[in-house]
Amino acid sequence: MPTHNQLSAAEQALQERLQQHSAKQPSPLTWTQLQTRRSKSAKPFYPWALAATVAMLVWFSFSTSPVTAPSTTATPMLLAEHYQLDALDQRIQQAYLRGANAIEIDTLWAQRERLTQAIQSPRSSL
Amino acid sequence: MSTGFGKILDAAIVQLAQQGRADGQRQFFETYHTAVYRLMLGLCRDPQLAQDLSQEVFIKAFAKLKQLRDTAAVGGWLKQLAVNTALAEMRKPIREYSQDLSNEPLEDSHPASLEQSDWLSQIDDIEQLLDVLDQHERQLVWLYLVEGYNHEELAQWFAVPAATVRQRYHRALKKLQQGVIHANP
Repeated sequence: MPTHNQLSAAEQALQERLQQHSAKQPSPLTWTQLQTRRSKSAKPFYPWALAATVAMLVWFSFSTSPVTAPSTTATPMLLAEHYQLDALDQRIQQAYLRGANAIEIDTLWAQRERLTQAIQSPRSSL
Repeated sequence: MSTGFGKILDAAIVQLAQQGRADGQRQFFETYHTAVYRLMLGLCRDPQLAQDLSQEVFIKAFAKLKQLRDTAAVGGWLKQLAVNTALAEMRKPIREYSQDLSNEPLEDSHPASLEQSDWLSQIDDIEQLLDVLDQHERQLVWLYLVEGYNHEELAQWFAVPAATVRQRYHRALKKLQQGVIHANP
């Protein structure tokens, strides 16, 4: 911030008036509006889920690792979990938009964390 | 006077926001949204545009927050992001300002009273006085006097020499002083 010993008296007066003027401007922003805008600008998840599924199918088709169960059982599980994750994200967004209480929101976040860990954990069947 | 970006946000909250936790992001938002909005309004003067740009700043902030290493500097980091966003939105080619300077000679002399601390005492509406400035001049005045950037920093923002920033800033002050004369003949 330009210190007062650097500014002329006229500049100091202008600075003070501008700061006073700025301080009177309330912010119209709300968290709910921001969440609404974020959810509108968020890219659809489904294309990513499809791309991930295709990549997994290609990987499984070239995999030489021993398979104790039919390989097709892992891919639908991964796809289903990603769809669950997307649905859960939508529920979280809706909870914020309708002003859900903290307990409900925390519960949803905890579910999301468990689901994320389940997706990321290595699968013994592979 | 603090512009609001100096508010301290607990490092744990910043980390929650960096992890994408909505509770952390919300606290981050609630702490700084007023400062961001006032900065945007000061630069663009349009409440609706200021609101849109402010939301854009937070969306970008949540996407980039992981890049922030020093959580204690989150206010300054957000302020830089906000200024970048505003200037990118409102940027005009520099050559337009060069033409403005050569075509609008300003009176070099004015009453000594306008150099005093009470030169604005007859001005009720500071916003109306600011109308005499173009967008770039207002940005310079606002960023220098209200947001605390120095001329060298502004020179980097606008990609011009610091001497040019000083010249334009002092020209803006002269225009404001002439505005006071015209408002109170």
